[in-house]
Amino acid sequence: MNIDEIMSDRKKIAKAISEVENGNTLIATEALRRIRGIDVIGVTGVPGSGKSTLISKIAYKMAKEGKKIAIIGIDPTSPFSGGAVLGDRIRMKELNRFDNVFIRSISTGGKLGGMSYHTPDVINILDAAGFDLIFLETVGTGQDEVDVMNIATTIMVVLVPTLGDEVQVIKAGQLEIGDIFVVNKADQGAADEKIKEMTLILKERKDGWIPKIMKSVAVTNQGIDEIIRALDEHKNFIIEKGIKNKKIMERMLYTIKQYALERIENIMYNENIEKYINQIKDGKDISRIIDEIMLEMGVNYGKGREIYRKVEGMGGEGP
Amino acid sequence: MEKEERYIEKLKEWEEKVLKRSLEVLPEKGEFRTLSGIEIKRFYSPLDLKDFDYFEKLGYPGEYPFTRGIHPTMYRSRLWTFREFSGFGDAIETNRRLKYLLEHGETGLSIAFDYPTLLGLDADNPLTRGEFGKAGVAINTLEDMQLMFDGIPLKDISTSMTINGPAAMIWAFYILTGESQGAKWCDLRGTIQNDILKEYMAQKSFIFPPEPSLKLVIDTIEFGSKELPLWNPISISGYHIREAGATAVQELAFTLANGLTYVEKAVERGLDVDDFAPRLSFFFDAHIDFFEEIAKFRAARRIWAKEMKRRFNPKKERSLWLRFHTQTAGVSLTAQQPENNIIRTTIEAMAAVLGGTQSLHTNSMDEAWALPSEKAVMIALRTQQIIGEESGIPNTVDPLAGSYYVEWLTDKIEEEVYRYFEKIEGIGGVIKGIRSGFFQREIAESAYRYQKDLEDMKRVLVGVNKYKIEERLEIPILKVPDELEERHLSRLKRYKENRDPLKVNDSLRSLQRNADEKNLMPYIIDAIRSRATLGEIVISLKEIWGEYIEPVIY
Amino acid sequence: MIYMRKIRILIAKPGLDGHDRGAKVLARSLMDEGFEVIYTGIHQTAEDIIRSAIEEDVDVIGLSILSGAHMYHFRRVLELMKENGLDDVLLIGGGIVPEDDKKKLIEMGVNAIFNPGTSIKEISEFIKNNVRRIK
Repeated sequence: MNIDEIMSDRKKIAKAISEVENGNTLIATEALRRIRGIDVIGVTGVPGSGKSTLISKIAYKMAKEGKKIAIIGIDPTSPFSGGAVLGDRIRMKELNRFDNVFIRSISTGGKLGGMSYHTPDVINILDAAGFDLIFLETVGTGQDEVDVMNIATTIMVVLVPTLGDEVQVIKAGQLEIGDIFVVNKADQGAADEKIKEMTLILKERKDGWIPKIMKSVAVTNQGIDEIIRALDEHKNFIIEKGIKNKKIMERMLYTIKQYALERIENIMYNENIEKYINQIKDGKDISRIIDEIMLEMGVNYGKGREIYRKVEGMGGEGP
Repeated sequence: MEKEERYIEKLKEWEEKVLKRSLEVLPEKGEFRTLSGIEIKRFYSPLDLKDFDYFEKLGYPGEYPFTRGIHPTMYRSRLWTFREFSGFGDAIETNRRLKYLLEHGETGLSIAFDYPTLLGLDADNPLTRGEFGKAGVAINTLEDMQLMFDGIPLKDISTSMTINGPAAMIWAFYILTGESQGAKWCDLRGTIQNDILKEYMAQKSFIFPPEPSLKLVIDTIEFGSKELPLWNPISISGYHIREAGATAVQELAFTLANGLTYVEKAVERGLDVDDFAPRLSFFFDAHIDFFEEIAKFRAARRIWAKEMKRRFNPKKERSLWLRFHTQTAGVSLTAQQPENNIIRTTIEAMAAVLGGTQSLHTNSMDEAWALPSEKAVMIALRTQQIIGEESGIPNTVDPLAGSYYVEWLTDKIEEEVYRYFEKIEGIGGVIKGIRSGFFQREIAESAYRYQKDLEDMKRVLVGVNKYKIEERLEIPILKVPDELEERHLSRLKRYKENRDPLKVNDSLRSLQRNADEKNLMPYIIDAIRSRATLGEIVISLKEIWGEYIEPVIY
Repeated sequence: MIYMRKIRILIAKPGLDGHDRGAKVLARSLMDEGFEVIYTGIHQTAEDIIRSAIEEDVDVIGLSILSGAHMYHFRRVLELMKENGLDDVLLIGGGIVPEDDKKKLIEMGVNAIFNPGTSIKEISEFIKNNVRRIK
């Protein structure tokens, strides 16, 4: 598959995504080399906060103005079966009328962190394919959501007045990473109080951005225009401050870091675990196996070994 | 309890001497649970009904809390209404089928509508392609309704119509059809299902968002209490909740919670509870777990009477009655060895009768394949007639009262229902629960568990996961001929050509202007008199109220 | 065997019928069998279904229909599959489909119709054995 071909139509983009999800590094790197640095809006918030509906409504307005929009929805992989039910599309049915919208559901692939190793690749493909904007909807289970900050240019945190979700937001570190906070379903319960509470605890970002907090009722389109304005403001802010380029570079490096991490994981577990077990059974020394693994990962282990030997009382026979 | 020690002492003795030896030779096999998962003991005795107070728990038949039935004599005075659901194709074809059923001893009519009609769409709407007349009859205009009841005098028959989203409009068609036959409004008898809350929970044939939908339902209740005192403006339905996968307890809890929500809203509107509560009716599923279903029906009456009394304190005793229609469980039918479905339906129908139902629909054996054929419908109807007129079951009121098991199970179901009531209150009531997906999640969870039990062989389904055979199925299947659609469409076209468009437009604008403030029934009737179609009325209201998008739970 | 992509299945309900019990249970059960299931919900048009199938790059399209309108909906989806070159995607269905219609549908190009009562294992095996994509 040639990258220029891929970018021309919906079906090919879809296939290319499958390819990178399957670990086709050729296409992945090719996309990485061609990224244009478009805006990626990470949308996070607990399940049931209405992320999908909110994205759908925002995207609807933007698509109507002719913007090319891609949406990635992530759902968790079952740790038991490795399967998944991906259901984010259901709430985005109204976007089916637009030719300039592309939606794709992906799974976490069982990786902790809320994103599979290949999520950045998927983003890069869409970036290279000529979209204007990408929404990345996270799983929404909390702790691991901060991963999204490595690939997003703007982060939107969705809250609901009726859920005690601010605690989770704080615990998950979303308080620090969110650029825009939206209290959705504002018609159900004390939205204004929630906004007050949040305003008290939100602080200016290191880069000087003051997080916005606003309310919406996504199902009835309330507050959508305001959110779009806030997204624009943040977008302009990071360009003016020269932060955007840094963010794009972060995404590129993060992509590469994922390759490395996956490679390591494969060396250590997937490819070799059986082999190591058999070697141990056959009487091979564990320390020897460790050496081999380290070598394969390209880690210079020599120095560490020397230091180890020098520490008194921690001797023991090196191989 | 008197002599409790003695029962315990005897029980211990029995366990030592009798039970132990028996278990050694014949150990018990498997788990013993109802279809809904309630754990069942080896046997029940007075020890399980320790504080049982006859008058508090049961009372005499026709007496508070109506556990034994709402009438003192029950089927000794009158059998339940035999009602078979029918309707397919267009109005003319359905008219033929209705007449057939009446000739064969059916005592009430029950109309099924096709999907476009259920969603308030006229047959000329492109969204309806492929769906015309498939699952029921298509009714778009007053003319359609008049043709469906041609030669059937509406003043003499009671008609039940399974319609929800556009119930108000379909009812208005019916009222005007009666009128055109010369019947007075106040003589018309029947039921519209009109239970929109369960649509959001289970059946998914909703049109507008919950709040305006609920407003429209209360409009019909108010209108009925003033203009059509013999009509049941709502049939609060557990059937679809159950069919979507709920347990017996969930079916009952969610349905009663819905019922109480309607009453609350009507009272908020300023209606006197005694003016409408006696006309509320219910509709339940009769599933295959015989005793659990009987207990469910008995518990239903008791809980409803207690809650109506506690919350609304009506003066009329009738306001405490839970009157209900029952249909045997569609989901219990199998596509495999379809004749077995006759037996399943018989067991379920018996449970409904032993539970004191006011009317009954027995499913036809081929319903896991398609709409029932005439032969299959006949067998289904005969099933009711055999139970009613041969079996002797109706000879005495509530024959299972006093059974240790049945009374224990009735109490148990009541207890579990109250636990759900608390939960529902905790999440802020029915509408909030619908919007947050609470009910949908509960139902989906139960459905999934049931399937898993079948897969794991924890539950037997004869002919499906056990006792399978290779078979060649030769069931005559009812097909809806294409000509019916053409006939309907050309009729609809003619209908729209022969009217004053300005008049139609005026009546629809007037409907829209008053959508939120006034009782809409008179405006809907006016629109129909000006020859507006179902689809046109529904679209007009969509423009004001919007359409509902559900939170999807799986 | 490092990057074994999961088989992706689209589960959709075309047309107006809202009985989604079967579709939902199936979606979850297929997840338990290790598939990635894209669930699109009720009231889908054939165009919606095809679009989702393309964007999600699925291996299988599964339609659940209980309304009796199966002949129309399957025909329409098949047409659009051809138009869009989805020749390597399996089309399967479940619901209330009489034997005669089942035969006709298979002749038209539907790969399998599962009646009520079919076990999940059976469906899962069928998919695994018939998926056409080269992994």
